[in-house]
Amino acid sequence: MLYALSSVIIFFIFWELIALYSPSPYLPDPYSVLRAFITILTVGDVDGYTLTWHAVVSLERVLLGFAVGTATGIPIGMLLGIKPTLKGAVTPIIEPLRFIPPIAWIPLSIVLLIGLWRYIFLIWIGVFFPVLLDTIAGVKRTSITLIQMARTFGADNKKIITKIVFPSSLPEIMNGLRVGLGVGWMCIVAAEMIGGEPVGLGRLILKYANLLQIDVVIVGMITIGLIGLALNYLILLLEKRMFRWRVEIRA
Amino acid sequence: MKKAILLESVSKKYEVGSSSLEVIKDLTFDVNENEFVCIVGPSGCGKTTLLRIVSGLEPPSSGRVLVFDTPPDPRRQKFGVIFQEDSLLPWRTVLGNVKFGLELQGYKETEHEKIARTYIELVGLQGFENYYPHQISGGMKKRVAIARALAINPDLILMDEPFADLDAQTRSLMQRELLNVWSKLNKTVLFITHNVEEAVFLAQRVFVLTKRPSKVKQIINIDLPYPRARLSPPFISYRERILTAFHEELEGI
Amino acid sequence: MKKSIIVLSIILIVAFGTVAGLYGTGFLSPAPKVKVRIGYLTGDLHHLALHVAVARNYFAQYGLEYELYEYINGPTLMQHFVVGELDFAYVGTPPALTARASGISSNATHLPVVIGSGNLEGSALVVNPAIIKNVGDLENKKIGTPGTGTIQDVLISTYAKNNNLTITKYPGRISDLPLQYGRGEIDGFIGWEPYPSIAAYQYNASILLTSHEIMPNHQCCVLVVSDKFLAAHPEIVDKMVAIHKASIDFINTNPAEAKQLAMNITKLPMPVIELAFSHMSFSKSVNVESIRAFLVDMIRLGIIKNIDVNQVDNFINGFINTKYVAG
Repeated sequence: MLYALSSVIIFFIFWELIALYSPSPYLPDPYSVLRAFITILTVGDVDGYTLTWHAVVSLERVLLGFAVGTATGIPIGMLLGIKPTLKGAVTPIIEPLRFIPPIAWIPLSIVLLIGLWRYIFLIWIGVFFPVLLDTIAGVKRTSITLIQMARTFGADNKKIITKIVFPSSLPEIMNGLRVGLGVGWMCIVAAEMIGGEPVGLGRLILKYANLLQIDVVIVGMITIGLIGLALNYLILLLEKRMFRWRVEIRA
Repeated sequence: MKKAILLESVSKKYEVGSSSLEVIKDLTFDVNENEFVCIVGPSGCGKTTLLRIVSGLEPPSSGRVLVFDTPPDPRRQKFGVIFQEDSLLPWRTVLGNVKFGLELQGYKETEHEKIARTYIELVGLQGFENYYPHQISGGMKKRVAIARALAINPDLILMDEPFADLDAQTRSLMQRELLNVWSKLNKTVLFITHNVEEAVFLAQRVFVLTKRPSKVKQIINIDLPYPRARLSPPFISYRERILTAFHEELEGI
Repeated sequence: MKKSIIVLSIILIVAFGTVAGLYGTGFLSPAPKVKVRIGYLTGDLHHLALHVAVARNYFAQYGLEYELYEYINGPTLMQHFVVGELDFAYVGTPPALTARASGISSNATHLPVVIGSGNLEGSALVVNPAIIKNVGDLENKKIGTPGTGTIQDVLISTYAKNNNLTITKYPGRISDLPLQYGRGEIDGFIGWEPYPSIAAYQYNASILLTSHEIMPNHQCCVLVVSDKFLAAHPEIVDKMVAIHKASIDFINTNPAEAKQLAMNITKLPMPVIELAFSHMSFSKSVNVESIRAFLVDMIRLGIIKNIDVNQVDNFINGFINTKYVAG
């Protein structure tokens, strides 16, 4: 704790020193960033939108896309995990698709989709594949013994999936969700920089980059980082609660 | 006497690529109701396959299998199967695991808790209801599996080398407790093991299987009262008889 | 076998890297000649002078080597300009003002200095006539702009402020704006020509306001040079200004040819070009009053923060180089 605190202090001292001695006017010091933070939080940006509003709008977009990604990734992942022949059939489609980063979909999404749907689609691209792949991996790791055990108690396929395969895959699924949410959060910034809406943390950054007021750009960056951190922490907390049964719990 | 299990000329072949592997060939035996039967045989002789056939998880390639006069079907009959491997659900507590069979067998939800607690007590695990499997010992896990199997009041208990992974002390303790439970509940038990002493200690009859493809080599009645003393001369002589038959098969491999 | 392939590939990679590195640092390349780097904006007819100079080979005639860099809007261009990636730029006045203000206190920054007038006016607000019939209808409507800090953004923000209107601005890429308008994502947009004319021609948008009506005769784009470059290469700046003036003269004396050229560059039909041309004019002198007005507006809007209203005259004096461009 003490070490963590001192490393944060050292980080800010370094930042201050670099800002002080940098010849560039575009590296604001921590204090001016703090001032910009308070201004944007209380007064709002050049168009009158406050930092909270930017963050809420970005979060809303990410959570919607995340919900769609989860609602599609988990069932499809379960299906493909259970049916290896089907998985074999769709692998030639899924494998190349998953290496196309969400950012590469942006131009297409601008031409084909409108407003919120564009964000939902881009976040979905980022969330879907980690959730899908981790769900498949989780299903594959399900112990055969447990399945046979359930069968000897007369379980049908539906019961096996709901009572054995799904709970047994949950740790992997949650891992996929955590990674997916992280990726989604990173995509939103890129998506907002290009889309048209005036609100969103990505847009805030771009607005002030355009105005060459870098202190606010850094305010946006820090907000994005902090919210990403908080989201990750929330899922980890949830995992810890859900997986008390696990011997090892990731810190 | 009513037959709990009846096998007539049962064979099982697996197709592996173009060749086929015959695991069981022309196997015939029966088990009486409430009887305790042990099956011993060299490893790889198809003991586990046999158990899967008796519990209805797999059909035989040929021959007839009857459990209480019908082909085995876990969806209509109640089997209590105890596996060699750990078969507890790691995400459920001891109580949750014992409830598992009850949930699948369509017991009323209000009864689950009471029945589960009864059987947890029967296997001596009261106080551990809320522990997760990773928090308890191997022997305790086996007790949970046994409680789970017994809780549904099974027609037949099938055990596949359940104590193989336990240390010697725990193993003999578990054997005594199993006999205890069996005498209380009067169930038919088919117990698979490769441990001859275990078979003599537990069973009323011991079936020695041949090496693959398996059939019954010898059936030995153990006419000893329970509880049995492992060092008594008749116990040792039974053990030697079975070991001899067993070793003939081992050498043949 | 495998090992030798690995070794060979490592040698190849190292060799390639070395050559590329030497070339990149100028070690292997021929003695560098000054090649001016000029920034301009995507599809912007305001920069027609630059395209005329290119098409008519003026650069070669003046013995200038050049490279062109295209940006999606003025603010983005100026981000590259202030760090020294460009020597000259055709850019809107407000982004140039923002950039100069942002770096005014630093010696490391390449500050823009106006050495030529690109055009006057030349922006228009096009709207959906079914939704917006007069300026009062703009209240709470979604109006696209080519980005925060662009001249169009400043014009519409000032207009809204002066007329007590609340407008939701949708900053986007200029090339996407007609499409977004066509799909109904925005109720209208303000942009540089020819994009408003495209919307009017292709999507039947109506031209609600030209920038002439918002701010008559306002300076729009300017030709700027980096103050560092100006100090180091005044003779090159002389040539650049001469080229620029020749181009403006050509546009004004040969309007038909200029329009033809605009058509070739933009691949747009002549009616769109005609409409676009009707909204802009090309002049060799700058409208200093409008530049001063922009600066004051931008300070009021919070776009420029570190310049005080009473510093405006001083700032403008440094911004416009009167040796090259008359007021």
